[in-house]
Amino acid sequence: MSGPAEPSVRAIGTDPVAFTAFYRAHVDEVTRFVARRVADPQLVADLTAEVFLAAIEAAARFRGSHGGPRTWLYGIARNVIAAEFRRSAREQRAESLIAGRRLLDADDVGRLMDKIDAFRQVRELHELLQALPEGERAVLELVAVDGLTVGEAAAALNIRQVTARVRLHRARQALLPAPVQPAVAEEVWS
Amino acid sequence: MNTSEMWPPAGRFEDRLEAELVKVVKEHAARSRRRRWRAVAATRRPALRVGVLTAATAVAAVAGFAFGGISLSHRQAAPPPTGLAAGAGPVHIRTAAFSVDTRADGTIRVTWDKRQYIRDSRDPASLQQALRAAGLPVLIKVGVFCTGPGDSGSLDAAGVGPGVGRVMTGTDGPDGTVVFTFTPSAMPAGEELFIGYLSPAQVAITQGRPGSVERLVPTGVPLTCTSQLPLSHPGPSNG
Repeated sequence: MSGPAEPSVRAIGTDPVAFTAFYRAHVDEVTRFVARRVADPQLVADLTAEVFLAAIEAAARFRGSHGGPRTWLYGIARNVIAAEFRRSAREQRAESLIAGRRLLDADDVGRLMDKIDAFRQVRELHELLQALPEGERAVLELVAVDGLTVGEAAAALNIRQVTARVRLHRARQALLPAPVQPAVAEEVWS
Repeated sequence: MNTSEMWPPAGRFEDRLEAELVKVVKEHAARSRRRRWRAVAATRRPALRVGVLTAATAVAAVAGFAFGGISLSHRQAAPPPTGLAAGAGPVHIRTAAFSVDTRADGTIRVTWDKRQYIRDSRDPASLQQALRAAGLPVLIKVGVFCTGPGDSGSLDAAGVGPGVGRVMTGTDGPDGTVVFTFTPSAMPAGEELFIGYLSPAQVAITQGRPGSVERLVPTGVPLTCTSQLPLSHPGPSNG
């Protein structure tokens, strides 16, 4: 999957044309990323909006990513999701610029529910991973839940690839013999 | 039909979200432009961020456009208010980038476009002339700082001496404009406003904090002037 070139990513915070191209290239992927973690369509809409709002704010600081715009956006999405599970972040969202759920109609909810249903098993895996230490969980989550390569996961987390490999190994060891990876990969890309 | 059925409008969620986000991008772009301007302006006139603005800012800003076809008019009007310099009358200067107007209450209102200010070169002499014509006794220098006899030379962190705040104030206006208000009647008798605008080399030392020095100095007596920065701090951390 390829996204806009890096200069365009830096421009998305201030250039509506660049942003529109970026958004259209990634909105479905971001929505699925959220739906793999959240079962409420209203919340999926809110968080999808939050991810792009965060990207707009962060775009000027984009200095390239080994995995390109996609892994950069995944890193942002992870932070948004992590913040969601903190009470303070949920309260702050009440003051967000865009309440995604207000943009939903019945058809949208139905489409989101389809995605949410498709990712039921993946969400169960995601919940299973919560028991892992944060560093290890983050790598395994991006690889197993989202289908990133280890290199892409390292880029999204802004860590060295060798570090990501070590953490991934530890995470898998901790979870064995839970049969997670094969089922997940198939689910993610179905 | 309830509210959720009336809103959102037709189209997919993704389309409506796109439209909302594009609005945010446009607002973000406008904020970024303002921040960039402030960053650049801070290297020239950092005191804009405090309540009392430095007159040198006005100098550089207005003077920068002074070559651009100023129309200066003296109108027959009410006698100048108390404290107005002898011979001063209402002044109304209009250019595409700035305006200088004396007002009925005796104050002088100066507005300008920041973007024009940044692009144009500094021309203190023209602004000094315009402000004097408007009734404000002012002495403007670049890279040179003057004090009167017995003046301790004390300045605050923004490079502003005692009493200047009564003479001029300023605020950021909409769309990158700045509005200064000079009050000639607040000028103590026998004094004038000295504005020492830092040279580019001096600005490099202070990193724009401050970018100018303002103080009240006596008129009719020799001033002591020096090219040495009259500031105790070596860099931007002090103000």
